[in-house]
Amino acid sequence: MVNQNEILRYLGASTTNDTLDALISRAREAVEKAMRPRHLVQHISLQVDAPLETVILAGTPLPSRDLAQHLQGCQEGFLFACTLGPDIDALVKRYTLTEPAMLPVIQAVAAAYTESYADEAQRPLEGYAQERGLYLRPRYSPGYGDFALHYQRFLFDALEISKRIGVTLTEDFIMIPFKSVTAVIGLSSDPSLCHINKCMTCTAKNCPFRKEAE
Amino acid sequence: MFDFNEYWGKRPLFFDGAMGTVLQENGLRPGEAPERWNLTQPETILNVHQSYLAAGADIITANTFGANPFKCRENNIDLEAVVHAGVSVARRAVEQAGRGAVALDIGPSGKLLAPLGDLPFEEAVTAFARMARAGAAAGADCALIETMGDLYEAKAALLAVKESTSLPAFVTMTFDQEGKLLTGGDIPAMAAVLEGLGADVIGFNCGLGPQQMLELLPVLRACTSLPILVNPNAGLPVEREGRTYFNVGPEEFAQKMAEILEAGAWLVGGCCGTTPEHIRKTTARCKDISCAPLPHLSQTVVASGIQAVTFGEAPIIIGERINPTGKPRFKQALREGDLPYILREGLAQQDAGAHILDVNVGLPEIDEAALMGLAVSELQSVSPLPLQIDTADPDVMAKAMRQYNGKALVNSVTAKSSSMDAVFPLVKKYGGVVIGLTIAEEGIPETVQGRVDAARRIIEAAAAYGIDKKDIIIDPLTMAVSAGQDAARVTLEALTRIRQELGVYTSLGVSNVSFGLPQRENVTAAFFLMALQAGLNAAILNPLSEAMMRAYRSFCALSGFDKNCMAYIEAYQQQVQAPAHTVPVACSLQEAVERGLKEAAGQAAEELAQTLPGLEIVNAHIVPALDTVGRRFEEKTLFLPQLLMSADAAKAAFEVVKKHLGTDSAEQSKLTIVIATVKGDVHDIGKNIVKVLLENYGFRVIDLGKDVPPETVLEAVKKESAGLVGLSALMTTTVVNMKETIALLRHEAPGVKIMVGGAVLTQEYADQIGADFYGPDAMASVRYAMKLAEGL
Repeated sequence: MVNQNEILRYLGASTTNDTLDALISRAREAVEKAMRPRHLVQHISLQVDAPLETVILAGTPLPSRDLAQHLQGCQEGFLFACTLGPDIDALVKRYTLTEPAMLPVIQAVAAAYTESYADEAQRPLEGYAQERGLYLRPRYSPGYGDFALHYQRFLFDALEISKRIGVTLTEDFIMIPFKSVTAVIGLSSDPSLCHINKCMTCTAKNCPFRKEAE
Repeated sequence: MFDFNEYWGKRPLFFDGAMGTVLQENGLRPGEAPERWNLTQPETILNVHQSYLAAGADIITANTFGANPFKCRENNIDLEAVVHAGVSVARRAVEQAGRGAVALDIGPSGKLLAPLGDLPFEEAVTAFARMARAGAAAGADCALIETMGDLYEAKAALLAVKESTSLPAFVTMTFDQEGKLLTGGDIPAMAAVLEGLGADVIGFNCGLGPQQMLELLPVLRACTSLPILVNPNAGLPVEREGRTYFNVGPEEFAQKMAEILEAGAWLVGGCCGTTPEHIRKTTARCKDISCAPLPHLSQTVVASGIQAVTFGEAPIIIGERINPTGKPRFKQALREGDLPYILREGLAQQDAGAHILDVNVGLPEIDEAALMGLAVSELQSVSPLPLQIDTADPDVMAKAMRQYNGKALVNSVTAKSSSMDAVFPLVKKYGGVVIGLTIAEEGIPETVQGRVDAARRIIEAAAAYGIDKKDIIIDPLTMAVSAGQDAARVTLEALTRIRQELGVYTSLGVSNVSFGLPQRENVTAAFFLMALQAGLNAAILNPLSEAMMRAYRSFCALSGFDKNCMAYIEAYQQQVQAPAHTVPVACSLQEAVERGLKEAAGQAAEELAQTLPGLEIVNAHIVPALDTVGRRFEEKTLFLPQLLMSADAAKAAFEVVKKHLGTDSAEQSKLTIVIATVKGDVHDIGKNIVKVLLENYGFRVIDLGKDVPPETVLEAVKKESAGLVGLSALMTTTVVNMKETIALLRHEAPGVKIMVGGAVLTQEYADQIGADFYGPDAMASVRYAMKLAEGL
């Protein structure tokens, strides 16, 4: 069950009330019915160069200081992608036409379900890490920091994302279906960088969704 | 040139196995374009082909899967050169082996077609045509369109191959275990569409292993008369330690492929994870299996890209409301290009139980082709229902059928030569089921015999075009009973005889029967029941008419079409016998708006309008309520969805006021606002929310949509004399385009104010790019607009 507080947070609501709860419960039902979640994982070798300017993922160098910083100390990791599927986009389109009040609710519920599904899909990787005494770094996606959005292309080609789970990229590297996630996940023997919340590596300091370190 | 006709049905044909996974073993890096190896390492590719031919494959697949213009551009590869090299090296392998055929491989573009994605349909056709032409020129024997997860893209590729080459076209698509495509489409829809477009072979590849494809095969076999090709992966992918493995070995694979051939496939091969050894075992195990004869199916099926509708089972409801005839409000929507109105009509009919939506947007003063294209495409992005393309203009019909995602129902053709000559070639080319109206050269026959003769003429003429009668539905025409006592009887008798003598399905537009009579629904519903009883298979009607749907659901329950009466029960068990008038909720207008109760707000406004002037209703009731709601939103005691509900309720009240005052005197703000999501950004939820709020606060809003270039914004500002522009951006990468748009506006339209919003924006950012105002939330934008409006 996806956490209600998480949904409210995406909705920008600090408390709740009966009207909101009723809308959320309808949106949950609609999203659960429409979603067809799928994901992909690929184990990769990973190197961070010494001046922390470039990361080499499975033999391909990707210049990004923030990603290098994030993956410092990792020698291996995973490429990850997941999506709730195209029917969520259709749902949004439908509510845009028929009931705009549901739009922010559907958006919030779908966002929470996406995160929750990504966490779920990542669970076997945690098992893999544990068996080897390693730790997973938080998911890091193109568009975070200076890890440029156009590196989506690399993830899409390496994981064959379009072919295998039906997520596509626009000319400007935006994903459709829109409730989709791609990420690099580092594996390291040093747990110190793995506990910080994923928000803490993001530079959008005034983002309303920012979670402070717990 | 390989002659497939020599083999069809005489023995199974064998495709090769995987290319990509074999190249990975030879050192292809993740993310590297395999097609490049056609140019850099042709000998490696040649070896792979040779090993598959040696394993007994008849058809080898050239290494051109991703050689489409988009991927070639990204990877800096010359498309024509890489396709030529890929086909040539495969040709070389075939020549050396002295046997075999070469398939040009066409995989998905990696892009999503419009309207959900950003690749226009015609651009997709053009892109695939380049591959097809290059492959044909290099000597391919057939085209294999494969791994398609979107039926619409498969249509584009198939059209491209058929239009630009004479190669036999094989199309295989990737389904999940439930028999669904990545886009949600099902197997009957796929079969209907691809067969309609003239594919030579259809089937499955990738995604699943042989066992799962074996389970799906009977579904496909039951809905196509074409040869079937099955290219499974070597089992389902298993993730072990973060790596993907396929778990079906050559021996087991061969065994399953034998079962697949015995279940009716004619061609088999392998996809991801299969090796020359898989193919060797398969050819050895299967070469003597005899091909099952192809079934001759006569189902009448239309489809969208998602689902199929089959005639001849329960009668089909075709929703008639997307049609301007006799509907002033609809005509107005067409003239204003008010697409949301049309889409809402579609969704309402879908919810009311329509199986197919008729789409007619013909008005003399509009560009019917353009609007038809837009309506078809947008309807398909919100509704999975197949559409009936309804136009009298063959050019409009041609464009709509081409662009339609699916196999359309086509309305209509008559028994006149001019009509048949215009319509049948389109049905032949694009696939479709066409409604044949029993109108002869000299007009509508008055007798039963005359209508049966006209129907026969249509069926015979269609056959001359190669169109089977399964793709024809005859409409024996409903005439007004008020104008002719025999009208209904002639129609129903013609219907029965056409069903019995010609063996085609029938359809009627039923409402005509009551034309000129009072309380028309009484007569229409009775006639509808009589027609159903006479064997009517489809009716064009208004599914929002409760009388019609009551007759329909009751008929289905009584005739055994509704198992355990489930559909009837679902429709009516919740429905309490409503009293003649609903009791209005006792609630003031102000309270209704504050609580976001749309109906109550409308009712309360209606009551107030009996005694108060419109302006006072607005100023003393609606505006204060909206103010309260806005304040509570800012105080965070209520939240965005509630703000929108209140805005919606206010809109209902505004509409009542408008109705009483006439549209001109309605309290509409003088401020016109142009809003858009900037170029590159395709997420528009935020923009749409702001739009709804601004509209409901009385502003005139011109919504330019998403992914809007700066020039389009400027053009709209000038054309509409807008005082305010609202721009939205969601990605840091598109804020650049926001900046460009602002710069252009400052230069060319210096008077206009600009507000910006979106997830990545901040006040600081907004200042940097030169916006006048940054709206951290939707309400802030409204407040800013109100402030500007006061100054006007």
